Amino acid sequence: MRRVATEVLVIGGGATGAGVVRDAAMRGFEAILVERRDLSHGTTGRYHGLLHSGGRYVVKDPEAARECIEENRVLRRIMPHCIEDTGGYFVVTPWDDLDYVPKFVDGCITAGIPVEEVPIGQMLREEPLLNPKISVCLRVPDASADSFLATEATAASAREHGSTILTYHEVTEVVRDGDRVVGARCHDLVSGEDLEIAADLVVNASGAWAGKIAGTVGLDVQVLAGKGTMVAINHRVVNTVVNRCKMPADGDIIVPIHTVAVVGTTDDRVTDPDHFAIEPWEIRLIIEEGARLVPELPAMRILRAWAGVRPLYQETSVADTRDVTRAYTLLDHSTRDGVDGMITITGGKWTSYRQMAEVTVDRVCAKLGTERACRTHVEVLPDPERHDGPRRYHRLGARLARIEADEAFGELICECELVTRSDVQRSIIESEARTLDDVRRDTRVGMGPCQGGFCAYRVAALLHELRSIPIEDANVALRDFLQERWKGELSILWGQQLRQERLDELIYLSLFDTEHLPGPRSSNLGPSMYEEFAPETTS
Amino acid sequence: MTTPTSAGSRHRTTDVLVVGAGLAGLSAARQASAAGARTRVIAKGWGAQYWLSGGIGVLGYHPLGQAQPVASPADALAALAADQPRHPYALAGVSAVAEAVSDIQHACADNGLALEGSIDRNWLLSSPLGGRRPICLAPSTMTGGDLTRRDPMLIVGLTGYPDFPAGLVAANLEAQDMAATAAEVDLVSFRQRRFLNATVLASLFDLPEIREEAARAIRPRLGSAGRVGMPAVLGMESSEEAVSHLSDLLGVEVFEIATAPPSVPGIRLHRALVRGLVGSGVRVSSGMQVVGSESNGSTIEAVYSEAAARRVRHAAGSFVIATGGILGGGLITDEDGSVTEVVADIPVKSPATRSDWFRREVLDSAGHPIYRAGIEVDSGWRPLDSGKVVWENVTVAGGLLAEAETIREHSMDGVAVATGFLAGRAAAASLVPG
Repeated sequence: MRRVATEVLVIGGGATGAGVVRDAAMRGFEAILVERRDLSHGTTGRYHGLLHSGGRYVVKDPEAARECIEENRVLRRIMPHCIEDTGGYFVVTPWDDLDYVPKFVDGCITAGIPVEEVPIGQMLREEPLLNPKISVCLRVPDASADSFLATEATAASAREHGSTILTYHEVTEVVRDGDRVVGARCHDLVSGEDLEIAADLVVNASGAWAGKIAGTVGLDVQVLAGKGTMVAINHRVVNTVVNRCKMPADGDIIVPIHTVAVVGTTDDRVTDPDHFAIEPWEIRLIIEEGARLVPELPAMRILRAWAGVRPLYQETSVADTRDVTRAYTLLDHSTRDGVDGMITITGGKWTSYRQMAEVTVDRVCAKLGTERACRTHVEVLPDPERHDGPRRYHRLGARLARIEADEAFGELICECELVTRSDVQRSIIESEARTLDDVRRDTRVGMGPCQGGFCAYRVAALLHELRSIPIEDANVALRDFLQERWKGELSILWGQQLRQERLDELIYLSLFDTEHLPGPRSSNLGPSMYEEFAPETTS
Repeated sequence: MTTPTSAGSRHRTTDVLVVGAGLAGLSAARQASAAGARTRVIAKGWGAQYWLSGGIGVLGYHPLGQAQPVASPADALAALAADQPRHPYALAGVSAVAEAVSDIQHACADNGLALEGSIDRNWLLSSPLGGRRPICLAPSTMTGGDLTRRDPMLIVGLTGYPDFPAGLVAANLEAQDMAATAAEVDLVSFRQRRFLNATVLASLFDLPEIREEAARAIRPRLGSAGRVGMPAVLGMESSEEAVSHLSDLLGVEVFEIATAPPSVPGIRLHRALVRGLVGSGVRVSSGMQVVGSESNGSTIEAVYSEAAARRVRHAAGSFVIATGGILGGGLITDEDGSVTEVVADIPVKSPATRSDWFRREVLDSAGHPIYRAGIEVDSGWRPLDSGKVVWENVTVAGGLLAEAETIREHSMDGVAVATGFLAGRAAAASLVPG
């Protein structure tokens, strides 16, 4: 087994882990991050994409609300290219209680969240598809964020500061020597080799999997997995984030992100973050609730459904996951469990990832006996497209504008999402994409209405060409990606999207003969499917 | 949706109205017209040929899940008919399928498009990714790519055209023990184009000077190749001439390989068939999506098409519905598990609930049960509801029919041609003077 040593080993390549490794690297620590799949493969890449203003928490959890608005301002400053400044509404529909409005407004004022009332006429001019029966509309500084891009940028910054990011390295066990954690053993899914990493300190930043990781050294960490299911509609039905003005509940938010709108979410406790189903009632509920905000929603085409697992830390068992605090939890296992050498950061939400990383690395400093100041809130993240000039928020038309400026019409690989050959090339070469799904997270290929029908084979060909991989690997990468897209479509296939899927079958099966191309049918880098949904009678 | 007619029989100018202009509809129209019926085709679009390979696939795999493709469609058809007695091919019978396939071959030949082969043998040609694609009748421009031949191939890609990855094609062919190398040529004339897709390229290859430029770029790369495979974009209107011109220029045989959609050979096939129909007096109109019909007792009197300005009523003595299944848009599926036929609300045989629609693997070799949903017909291709004929003067053809998995069987063209052939004949034969 190969062995390496480092000062800080971070387990988990979501927003939090990437934030921790960047912060640690910027404070001069030698740091390695290991992630079992690609960056953002877990919860970070499966959330709705909201940059919270804090509005959703002002009544229920004022502390979380304050945290959100502070970090909202920081993230707008350090990663504007990952954020679209959509603004957000909180609206009162006929199904909502008007008594919540003064509580909401007071909560915003207390938390320091700018809030203003938008006249209904103006709201409908800005967002004509919203329900005209909405009686109150309040504007807050919500925004939509590209969590894939943000994690990539955070990791890129960490690399620039000298740290190492190892994707497709699954931790098989944390290594304990007596009452001290001394590192971790990993399995490299790509090469099939094992690697042991010795570390002065291990940071367990594996989110909903934190309990599983801690469990490998006998530590009892209870993290509930709060499954949240959401769907993508094939249009931006709104250009503003729209929330129901009420206590947070299922299906009460629509987030416009890139070319689509995400409607969500549900909240359902599952026992295992690796095994859960998207159930039919969840999709129905999201559509029904979404229709209260946008009445035409049920007639629209759904592209995809997916679910992420919120990490919800608890010391004691609680039934309804939404009542568990969303504030993050930092556990020092030396004081908590008498085992030194490892700390666990879990809980929280995407918007507060940087702050979570900051307090975590503060603790790293304390444990390693040094004092170094955090700079992640002031140092701007790198923009992979390396635009010159002042940083600006992302805007929807940016990709088209760039293609028009470059006259790169013939360079398009994914017409749905306007992804060019050079975007894919950058993902494969610079971001070291291993699978088509990695390229998707970097570029959005395959995320549009055809769900990869007209681009997956082009990307497979580029992967083959640019990486010089054996043809069997390119074929299996293509098959894995078709299965990965299928995974997200199974629960929403009817109407026009089913027709689209059948066209994709025509292309890949009838025309290409993809299933008979040389190589294995699937690989260990392919998707893990959602469970079959349970029969409804027993749910 | 179907509404009862208000008036009695009106004057009509169409005997057989075919709804749908894919291979099924065009085959039906050819037969109805040949039988002397005044025939018209109305369609929303142009059917699946714009996506497919431009040949006639009759049966590529049977039983599904076999690693090896079918060698002889005729033999495998007999086995399929025995295994699946409700399959459209079983209803048609092997000899009628053979007759229909031969007829479409003649129809194309009469209209300037040579399709080679017979129902006794499948060609094995390269897929757009280098897979081995079984097909019964292939355009003559493609048969030089016969993968049972051993002479080495040079696979040529065109810089700027992303839908034919020559390197991947050659690597896959090599991995299946066929001698192939790849080259990509960058043509100055193409660099000036903002955008290259199959149809743009096909128009360019109609020009002799483009072919000469391409040959100049390819010649130094020939090596020991005995033949040259290029994406199927070698001319829109003059492909046979373009391929023979390129072969002369290079001194080796040049052949086309199917590309990802849009399919230029498919467009050629469609155009040849429409040309034939128009030449024999059949009107073929697109942009007319049929959204409902008007009935009288157990007959359909007219269908309605939706247009920008108004609905248009199309009366006829007999109707062939060839709107395609889920893929073609003739069947609409919904979240509640319902499957609806759009023209005449014909009952559809489909899995009972949506949870039964799919299997877990997208590439499942048996296919997903929902795609076998469709209309059951009697021996005269009339739609059935629990064994009883729904409409006396309606026949059904192509993708609308139940029980076939045409994509995995590689039978989409053949099912369309055979059932269109028979449904068109039946429609003409059932006419009562009106």
